[in-house]
Amino acid sequence: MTGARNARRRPVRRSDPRRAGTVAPAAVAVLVAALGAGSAAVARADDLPRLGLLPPLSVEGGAVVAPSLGVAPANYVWGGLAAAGGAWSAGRAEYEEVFGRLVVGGVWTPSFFQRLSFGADFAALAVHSIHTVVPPAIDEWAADFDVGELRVAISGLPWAVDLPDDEVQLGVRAHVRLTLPTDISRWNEGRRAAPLRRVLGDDIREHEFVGIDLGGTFAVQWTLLTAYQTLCLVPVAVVDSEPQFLLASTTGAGLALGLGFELLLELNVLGRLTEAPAGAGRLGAVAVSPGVRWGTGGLRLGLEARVGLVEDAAAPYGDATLGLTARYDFDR
Amino acid sequence: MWLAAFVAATAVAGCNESRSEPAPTCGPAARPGGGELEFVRNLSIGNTGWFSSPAVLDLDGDGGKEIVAPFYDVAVWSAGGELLHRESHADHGHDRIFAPAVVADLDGDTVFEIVVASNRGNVIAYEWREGAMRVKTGWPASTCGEHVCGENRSLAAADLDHDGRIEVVAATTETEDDDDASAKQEAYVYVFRPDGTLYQPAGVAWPAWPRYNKRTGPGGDADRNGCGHNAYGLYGENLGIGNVDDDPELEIVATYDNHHIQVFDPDGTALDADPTYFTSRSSDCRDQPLTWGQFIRYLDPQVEEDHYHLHTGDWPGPSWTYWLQWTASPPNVADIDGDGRNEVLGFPNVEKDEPYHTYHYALMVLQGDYAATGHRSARRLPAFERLPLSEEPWQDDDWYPVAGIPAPVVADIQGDARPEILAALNDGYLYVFDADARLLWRHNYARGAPFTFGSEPAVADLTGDGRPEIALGVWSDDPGEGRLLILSAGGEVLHDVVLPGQREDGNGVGATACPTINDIDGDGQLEILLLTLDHGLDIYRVRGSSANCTVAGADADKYPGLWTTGRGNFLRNGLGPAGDP
Repeated sequence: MTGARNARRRPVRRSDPRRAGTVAPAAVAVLVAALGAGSAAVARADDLPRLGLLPPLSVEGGAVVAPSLGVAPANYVWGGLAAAGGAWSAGRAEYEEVFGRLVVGGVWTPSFFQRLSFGADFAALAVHSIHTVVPPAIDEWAADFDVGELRVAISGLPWAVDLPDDEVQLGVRAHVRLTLPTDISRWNEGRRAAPLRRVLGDDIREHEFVGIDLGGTFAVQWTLLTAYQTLCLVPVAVVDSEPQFLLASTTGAGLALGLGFELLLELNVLGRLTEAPAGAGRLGAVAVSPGVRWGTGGLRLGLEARVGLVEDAAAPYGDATLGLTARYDFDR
Repeated sequence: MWLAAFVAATAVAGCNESRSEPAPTCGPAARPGGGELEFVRNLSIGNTGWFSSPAVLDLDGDGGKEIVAPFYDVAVWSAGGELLHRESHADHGHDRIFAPAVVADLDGDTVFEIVVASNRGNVIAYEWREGAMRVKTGWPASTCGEHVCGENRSLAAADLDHDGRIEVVAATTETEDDDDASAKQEAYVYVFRPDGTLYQPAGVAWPAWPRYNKRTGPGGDADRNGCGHNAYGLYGENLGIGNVDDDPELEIVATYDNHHIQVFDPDGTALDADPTYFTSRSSDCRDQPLTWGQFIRYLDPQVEEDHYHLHTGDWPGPSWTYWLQWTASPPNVADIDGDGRNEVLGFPNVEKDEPYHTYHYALMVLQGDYAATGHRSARRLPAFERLPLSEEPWQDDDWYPVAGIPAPVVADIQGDARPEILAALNDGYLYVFDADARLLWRHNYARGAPFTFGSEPAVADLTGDGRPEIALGVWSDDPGEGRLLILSAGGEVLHDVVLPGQREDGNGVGATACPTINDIDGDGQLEILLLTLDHGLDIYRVRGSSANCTVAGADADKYPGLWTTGRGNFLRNGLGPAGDP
């Protein structure tokens, strides 16, 4: 439980006593000092601290290109069910979308090599409906039911620092993640009926692609407060077409409220570094995601939301997601 | 809440999927049950094709039909696929042939003419003599200015004055620069006699054509209604012909790239819009009447009411309101409301912002100039006060693949003896509106793929059940994206066929021209001819089909359906089969 974590973080499978750092309590300064201190601050493969940092929000009503990954090594399964809605206009045409996703996933950290974790997420159900109104003649709904994309990730924990008196923990974790086009929603006939197409453009409708997500997450916990920052560069290789480059950033903060409750707030930013391909439209997005969780033992239940605004070449777009997540940590 | 909305949306979407088929328009064929497609052959001379829908006629009177297909060169094939003649574009200095050719006996001498419009100002009439195309005496005609020769992308023909001879109307994309004070500075629309000279009606004191001229006084455009006329290029089949007033002569409708739609009498003068409603607000010619083409049409009828009638409110412009642009919007003349008097209709772009951005296409239907209806000339037909709109078209930033032309088709496909208006628009949908401006259905021919365009549709009963089917070509960028699509009268997909033999072509791949439907080999079954950008002409046979559903009074052998070739007939005037008497 997060509320108890500050005083008694449990090294559930820790084989060695944690090392104490020797730097100042301010998080950034500690990191800089730790980097500068050389191998003394670097966790070894057999000397990983058991960080109790809050995992980031994970609800997805629509496709999210580069969701944040947690820093702490863990073994868990999770699922999220969310519904979302969005709207935009072009001239006198107005569009409303209602969509939702069921995403399931998990992370496995081998006990014999805890530097690495392997994870996968799969949108087992992606539903999408669009209401098109172009007065006076057009007023129609269309709906699609699909599966979504599959994401597989390998992440490592090359840096982990546990500071004196259990007051400050630091973690930096890199990852490589592949987003694979198992979704068929990109093939939908409606121009805007596939959220992933909105982000990556229409090229992915005609061509196979893979998103190669290179990123890292830094997290720091100080007493009841956790902060994390993920940066991802996402080259998207599209067969027989131009590659695309996206930059995703997640900045989050969590607060342990006691009695197993946690409060989180994230700021997500997605930008396109390359020129938008024909039909893509979306050039950049920003979203604010609040969430509240409750946990007991290995179980965490979350009520999470996301309110996003997308800048389009022609029309601004906004959407809102609300969903439930459940996660079970086998190590807790 | 979202989930509830989604469930509701899904339920509604499910309802949308089931379309009911309309009542038959015609009696069934003697042998109903046709409709199966059979690829017959491809014919190619290796040229890129554009919007030049082929013609099928018995040119030499030997009982067998010939196929006339303009590309850059003009090919004439026999019904069996033998290349009878290839007229090189180099021989007469023209280039690509954008609009469909006029094929008719222009002067009633039993010799068929093939008239093509091309660039360098050329309009060329060939005669089909002794199995070959020969330039007709008096031609080529020219639409060149004194210093500039544009491309003629608009061509139409009709017997304007009912004297038994067919006049040819051509329009150019380009004329003299604004800085050039030549008399041909505004001369975009030309009318030629069958002998290639400019058409001049008897008893008219002024030079009737071309228009606009720089003359003043009677028949002059420079001072018409005080402020005069001005124009800009006509970029894609921008001509229509039909009778829109009380006299028997046919008028010429021209749409321009300066937001204007104009109607000319055969004597070259433009028709006034309802002078009791439309008057000039300009300080230079305040309260003067306006011809059809002397003012910009706006999407919002209140803007037109304020600006052209009440002369009040802010001066309209694209910075705050939508205006209508007719760059490549062919006009048709048809009786939409069934009162025996014709209207003018078309699908202009709906633009706003600067630089201009097309957000929609609109279906505009304007009344003719008739005493019985109080000369409501250029007024909106009441059912079309609020114009039906498409979605936002693809924003074509590099011109390739070439974008579609929103050519309207008028045909009764609902079996209610009233016309429907069909068009494949550049948002990826084929639209079908009824005569009351209601959207009956639309079909996503592009299947969501960007920069995928649909041709002017053809309409004929291909299954023999008395309900006409709709055939259109589809094109886009790459091989594999060219298709022939055949829909039922209710919008169900009957055939969606990838064209064989597609090739890389920088202009695009697939069938741009309106399919021509005809019984080319005389076996009683209809063939569909698709002229493509990339690989010549594809011919499909529709097994078991017949000419059982035709327009009353039309030649069923030439036009075995309700709209069976580009611009409705081989005169390309937008009147449908009845427009080629």
